[in-house]
Amino acid sequence: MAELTGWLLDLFADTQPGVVLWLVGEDGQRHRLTQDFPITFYAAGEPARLRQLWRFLRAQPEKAELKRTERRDIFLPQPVQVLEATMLQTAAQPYLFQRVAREFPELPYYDADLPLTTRHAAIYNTFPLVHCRVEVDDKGRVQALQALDTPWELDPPAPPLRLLAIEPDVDPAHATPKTLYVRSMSISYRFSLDHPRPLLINLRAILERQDPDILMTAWGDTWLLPYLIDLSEQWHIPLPLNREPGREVIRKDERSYMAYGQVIYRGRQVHLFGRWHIDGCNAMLFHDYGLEGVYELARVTALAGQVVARVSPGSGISAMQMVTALRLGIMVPWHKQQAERPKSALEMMQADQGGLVYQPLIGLHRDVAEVDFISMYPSIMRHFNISPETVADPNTVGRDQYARLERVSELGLWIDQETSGLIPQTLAPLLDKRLELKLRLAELPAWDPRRQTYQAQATAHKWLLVTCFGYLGYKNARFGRIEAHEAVTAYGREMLLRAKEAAEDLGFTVLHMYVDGLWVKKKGLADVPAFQPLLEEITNRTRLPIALDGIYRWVAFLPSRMDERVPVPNRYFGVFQDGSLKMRGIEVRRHDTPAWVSTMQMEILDILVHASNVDDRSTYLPKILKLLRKALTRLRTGSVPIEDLLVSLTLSRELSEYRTPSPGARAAAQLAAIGRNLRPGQRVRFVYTLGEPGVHAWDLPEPVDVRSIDHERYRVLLMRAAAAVLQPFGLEEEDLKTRVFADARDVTFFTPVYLNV
Amino acid sequence: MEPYTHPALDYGRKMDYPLQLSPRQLHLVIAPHRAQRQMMTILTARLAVTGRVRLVDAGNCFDGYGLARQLRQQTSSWQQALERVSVARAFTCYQVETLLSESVADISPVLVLNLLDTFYDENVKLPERMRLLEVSLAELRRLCRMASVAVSASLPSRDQPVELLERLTESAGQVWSFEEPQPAEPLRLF
Amino acid sequence: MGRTLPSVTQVFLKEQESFLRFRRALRRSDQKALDDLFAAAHKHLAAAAYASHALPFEVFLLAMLLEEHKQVLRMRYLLNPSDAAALEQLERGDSTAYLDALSAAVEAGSAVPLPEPGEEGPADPPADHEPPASEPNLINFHG
Repeated sequence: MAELTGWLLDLFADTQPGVVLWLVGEDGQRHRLTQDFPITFYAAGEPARLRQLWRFLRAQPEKAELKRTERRDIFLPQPVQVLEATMLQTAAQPYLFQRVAREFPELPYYDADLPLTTRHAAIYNTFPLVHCRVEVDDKGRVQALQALDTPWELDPPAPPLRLLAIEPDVDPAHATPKTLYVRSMSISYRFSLDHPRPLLINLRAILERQDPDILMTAWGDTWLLPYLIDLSEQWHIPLPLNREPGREVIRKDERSYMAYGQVIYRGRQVHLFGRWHIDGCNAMLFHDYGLEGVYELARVTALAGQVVARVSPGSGISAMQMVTALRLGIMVPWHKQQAERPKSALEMMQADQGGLVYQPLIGLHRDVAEVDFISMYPSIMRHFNISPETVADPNTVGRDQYARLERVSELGLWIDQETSGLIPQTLAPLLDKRLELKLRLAELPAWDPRRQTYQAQATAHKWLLVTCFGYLGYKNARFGRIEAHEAVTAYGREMLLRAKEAAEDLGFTVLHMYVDGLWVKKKGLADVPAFQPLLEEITNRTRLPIALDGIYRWVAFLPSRMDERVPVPNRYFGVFQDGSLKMRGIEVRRHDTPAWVSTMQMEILDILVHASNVDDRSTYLPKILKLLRKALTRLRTGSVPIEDLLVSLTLSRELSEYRTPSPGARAAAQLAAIGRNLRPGQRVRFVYTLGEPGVHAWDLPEPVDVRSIDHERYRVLLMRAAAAVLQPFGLEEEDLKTRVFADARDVTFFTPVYLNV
Repeated sequence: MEPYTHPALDYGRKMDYPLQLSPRQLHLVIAPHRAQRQMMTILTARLAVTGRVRLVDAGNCFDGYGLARQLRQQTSSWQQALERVSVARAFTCYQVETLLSESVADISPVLVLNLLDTFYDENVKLPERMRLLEVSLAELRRLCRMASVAVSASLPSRDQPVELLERLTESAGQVWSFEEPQPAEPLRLF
Repeated sequence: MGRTLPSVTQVFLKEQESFLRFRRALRRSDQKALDDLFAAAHKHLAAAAYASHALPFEVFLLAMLLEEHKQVLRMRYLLNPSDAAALEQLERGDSTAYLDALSAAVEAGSAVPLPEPGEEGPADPPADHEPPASEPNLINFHG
């Protein structure tokens, strides 16, 4: 018997009964361990059918231990009679269950399709990169496993992970790569793709010598690894991409799906055994939180690192709920059967609503405080104990069943306050950790190296928390319930209105409110302590955590682009007292704005931020006009790099479904014509060109002819973006155009036609 | 079973007349999405003027505001009438099955809006969907014994299986079928 | 799970659209006035949503009336030149207290005690961008 301490890197079903664990040892070694890990699932239903199922299971080659028992279904008040099947062959469970479900399709099943990491987490408190101590016998079998930390620690002992990065010289969708760059802490190589044999031999040697824990790639899922695997088969030079011997890599197909009202595209995937493969170009939100964010997500969700990097935050939240459920002895339904309780048509109109979104008071405002509820919806779920099982319907459940019920004012729903619900229990440690991180970040000086890690973690949490609300109402969520979802928004509206009333009672003017934040001002108040009484009053009235996001030196709420009388809720920009900018809904925030336009808009904003007095146009306007003229000259003389003129649009549907093809669809059609089909949810990049079809797809093999670029189109885009941020300062687009062109030395280049666009 | 096909031009007003529900029968309205929604709203309003109506919204298409407008035209106590309409939504074919099985057999009419919508979801395997549809149809027949039941559905699109609608049509006692109206010629006077 | 009922903005746009024939037949100047009414109602969509009235158009009408009433109050200021300071204040959005005082005064049928010009000395630039010299922007006013 030996004792090992280290970090759990990977966990998957063994080909033998049980699971394989890869441990990054404190001794610097990578240990392959195995562990017995029986898997249990349940079936409910009529006793006669369950007896048939019992006989069916008995007859199967995979031996399952069977028994009758009672377990808890979260949607039912009483425990249910179930048939429990436990099997030692971990890897065989999915196959057995598939046959069971085909044979007995009508039975409700539970705990049938859970990720192994989730099951393991529920029993051993493990998660990816958990610091743990294991006792192993001389065959490497785990006899005891003890987690030494939890996902909720701020500074857990960091595992000494070995990283290896491989990337091609160019986006394979755009051009054929010629070179591969391979890097780690200690090495850096460049290999030509023209010579496969030396490439493969070298890669093999590097993989063996470096033995990385994490293989970081660019386009590794969609191009690089499939390409290398094909090459290795072709040349009969095996590549040890997996650390686990004797396994093939897992490949998953691409797909498009709808989520949160958007089409999402996931490219195909390549997963490894015994080490992680993370493709920075196919990882969800990777640009937002990087590898640190992936580590954090893996830790808190207990989903395998290479899985969590590629799934939506909804799957992360779902996994967290499953762990809580398993620990509480609540079964996880295979298919959620439970449906909405009937409401009257009037009740439906009350309930079927989102958060309150106001129309701001258009224009420029000084000394404005932005006050935000911290993680409002998750905090509501936690503080008011909203969970599928705590929402009681007074019509069907006797009120006396609950010791203390809180009434959701407008929905006629009652919420059980006695026992903490599954969702609140899942969210509580996450909310606490996020708050702690925020406090820590506020204390740390700007140069502190830990900032980046904390920031990445906080971002990862943000996505989980943002998603958990939507997930409560998601039709396929195992622990979703529409009434609970509606209760959350009802509380949200109530709390925002209470905050508004508190502010008005204290003499503030409420300029804007948006779901969980409000923008207020009061004559004479301009520093943080002055707003403290307001924060306290709101906390008093709502019982929810709230924070002063900052005080704007000035903030401008913009009108609709269609009608200047009509305000729009989420289109504003402003400067905080520390000089930082906040922008929403303007061009620089939009993904489809060409870099050239964003950069210019940002530079204009920068001039405004540094203007000594925004009321005095003479302090900034000449600079801005000069900037714009220079930019336009650069455009006209072809000095703007074409990359900066690229427009990137997400396709919302199949090409055939476009009635009047948008520029994006026309670009996608160009690609389709050469056999490169894009799917809904994928991005297409193009430049605007003269004549028909008016676009040139960036990923076409022939380069864009610089002479064909539609300068006029870009000029319009630039002027519009400039006008959007100058309009609150009293400069309308027409006025701006006149000023830019009237004073331009090269005015002759612009025909009158252009001026009228 | 007598299919009634009507060259629908203006569903709103003209189609109200034939939608008379007979007791203990499963009625099926096959119509394009918008027309279906309008007709079911009109039908709901007419029934709600006099008594309770149970709606199962299987296509996320319950038109609350349209219903309120209809009711106000028909009765001064339109708010009470709105209270008499109960709605429950199903977002998956599993939930459709659950909602129908949980519905108590009593005399108030049951209207199922866009029954097949969730059954066209490809994430559930077709045999499983067919099974769930069979169960749902059995439940509808159970409800029919005491109440009038009307179900609406739309024709499958090109890539959707036809079996589901065929099965539903077979089970219905009365079928009203409305075609997509011809795109109207833009009115040109000159 | 997408929402079943249309959002208040969708309902609003649909209602507005249903008056397109009416609008078309109006004189150009009347069309503009009608658009102003709808723009006024648009400012209170959040409140209309919260009201969750089964016939939202009734709420939109009330919202139009509300903005009209604010205009009436504002006219009273305009008729009394000594109230210029308060008027200025109103246009900057610091209006709640003034509206309250004003409403009370209107009800009581008496003049409102107003701050002396300059007393509040607001540093804000005007909230909307009409040239200051031209006539006040009555249409665009939003307290």
